[in-house]
Amino acid sequence: MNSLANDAVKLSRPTFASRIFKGAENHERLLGWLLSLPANSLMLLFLVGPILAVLALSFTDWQLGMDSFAWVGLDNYQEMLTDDTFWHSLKNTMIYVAVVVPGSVVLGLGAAMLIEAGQHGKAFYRAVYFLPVMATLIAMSIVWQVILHPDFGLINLMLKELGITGPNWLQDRNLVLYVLCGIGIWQQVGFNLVLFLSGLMAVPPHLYEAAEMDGASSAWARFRLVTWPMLGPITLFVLVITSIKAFQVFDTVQVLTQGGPNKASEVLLYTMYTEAFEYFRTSYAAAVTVVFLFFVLILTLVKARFVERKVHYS
Amino acid sequence: MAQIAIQALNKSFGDTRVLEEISLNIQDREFLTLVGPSGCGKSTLLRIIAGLESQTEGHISIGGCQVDQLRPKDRNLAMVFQSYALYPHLTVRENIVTPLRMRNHNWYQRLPLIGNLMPGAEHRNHEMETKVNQVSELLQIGHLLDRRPGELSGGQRQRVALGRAMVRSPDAFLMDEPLSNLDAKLRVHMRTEIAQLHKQLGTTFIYVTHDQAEAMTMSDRIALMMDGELLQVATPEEIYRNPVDVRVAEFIGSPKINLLPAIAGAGGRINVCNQPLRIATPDPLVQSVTLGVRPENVELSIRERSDLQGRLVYLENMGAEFIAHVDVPGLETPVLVRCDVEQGHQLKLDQQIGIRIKPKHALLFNDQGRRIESCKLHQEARHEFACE
Repeated sequence: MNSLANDAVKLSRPTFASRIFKGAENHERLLGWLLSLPANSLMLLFLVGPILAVLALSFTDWQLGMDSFAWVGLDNYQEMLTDDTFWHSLKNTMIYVAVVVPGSVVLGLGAAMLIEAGQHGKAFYRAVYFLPVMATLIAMSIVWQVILHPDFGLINLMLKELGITGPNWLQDRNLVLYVLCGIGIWQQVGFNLVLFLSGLMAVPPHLYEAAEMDGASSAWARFRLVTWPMLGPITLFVLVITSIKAFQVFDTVQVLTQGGPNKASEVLLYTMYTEAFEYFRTSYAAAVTVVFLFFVLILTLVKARFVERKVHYS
Repeated sequence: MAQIAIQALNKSFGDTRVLEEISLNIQDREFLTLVGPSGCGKSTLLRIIAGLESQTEGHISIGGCQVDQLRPKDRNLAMVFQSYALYPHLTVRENIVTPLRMRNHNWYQRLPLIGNLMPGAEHRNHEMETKVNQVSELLQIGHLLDRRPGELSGGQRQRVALGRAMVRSPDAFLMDEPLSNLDAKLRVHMRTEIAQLHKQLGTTFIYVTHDQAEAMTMSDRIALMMDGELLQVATPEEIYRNPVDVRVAEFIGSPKINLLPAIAGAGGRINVCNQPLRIATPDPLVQSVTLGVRPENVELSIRERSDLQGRLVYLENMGAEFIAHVDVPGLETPVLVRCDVEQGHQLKLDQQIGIRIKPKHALLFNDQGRRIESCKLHQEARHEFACE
């Protein structure tokens, strides 16, 4: 391949580029860039481009539909820092992440270990737990709306049977965010479970036998000695994916609460959506997006830089 | 004391019987090898002794105590796995210390950081450290203690696995094909080392292998298994010279024993390819038999003095000796003859040659494969057929 490329360069007349890049090595390098140009430009256009566009937008005062815009520097960010709604939604998003990530990871791992330890029906359980992942969260949110309805919702009817008056789940300011967290966990557990199951299947059975011979006879001791360390890479992946997904919470908020009551369930992506598509403050929404991307970027960096090294053993 | 007694052990997986009526007494400080082809149930037997699997019927006792209901950790045995089964996330030191930590510490003493603050932690840690150092010195892995298993070669991992088993001074060592993942040269070397280790430690060793050479070179006694049955338990010497079953004779020894279909004629005299040999069976009822004779008990000879004649089809040069393959008309497989270098150099492929079977070392098996008695006929009394 390389020699072919060299020949092609040798045969062609000296071009402008080849005058700049002198020597065979440079020819080759130039050709490499040329050949990968289509792929690279598509990548820049479709993957990096939008992010740069958002970043650029966040420094302007452009609104959807306007013919012109002006650069306003950090004005949007300044406004954001003084905006209660933004701080509220940032705090709510953090709480949501802090509840959903450990909740869905622990439950997913627990369920995966139970299924793996069971004798029968592995495929059945795997499929059932995976159903919420496959179902559209928008559609499922409507089902949850019915279940959580204060008067004729399934949960409150059941509580009534026990003589308890159930709260108005989605209208209670202190409760609504955690209800959404619950739905978030419900949806995410199946995904984590399937990943953990594949991780568990990859643990060499001999290690459990060695642990048994070494005296790790309790389930907890075996978990600490074998399962947990061997699941390191999978757990890291699950943590990062779940965190990113939790940061992206939107569907349930949009369908069930619209950020209410009184912004008790306002989250970053929902703020961004309302700013952009209800108030048409596109540039401000772009600034919120940049903050959102910042968190996701940090998560990705944490994954790449710090943790990945510690969980691969060979 | 770690005498291990196995009584009438049966094991089935569903309808498949993998172990049938195994009874075996393993002496204290003995090196016993369970040997047999893959799938013969030897590993299952070892795992049942370890407690990793449970028997369908029968009993196991260690040092006089029945252990059928005990979990692996309470049987005080150590096991070395074929895949070593080292914990990849722990260093060599941590791997070796794990059996001590698991047994001597309770759960809160094992906690990271906090465990070190518990009363007596320093003393315990010091004790464990000493043990690890002793073991690593014995196995010469002191310089590897801070590495992870992923950074070690196969032979080094093997030593670490041995170290992890040794650190706790168990009643017996169970080894499940521990050398089969090593290259040929290292395998031979580790053979000696494990045998020496056995002498140094003075503990019972139960060693599983499919390699008859390992079994022959290392063990005090060999237990040969096939198809879930224990065929023979004997010293290497005995099992080589006096196999009780044709399958034992065939499995032990390299190159393989020659098995020739034979017929007992008048007076029990053995005929191979219609050639009467100087061997007879005293049992008058036996008709078709198998004659087993090891390659070193066959010699090449001139036609007049030979038992059988054939063509030399292949000559294996083993360096210190030659193995001649002689194709005898009427026999399916060539007869292997072990000959010394001098003789080997004089041989030419495709030459016609006679072979002579040493009647004293000939083994006879009946049509069920069981060993039957044989005797040598007097050479002078060719027509008398008197047993010596």
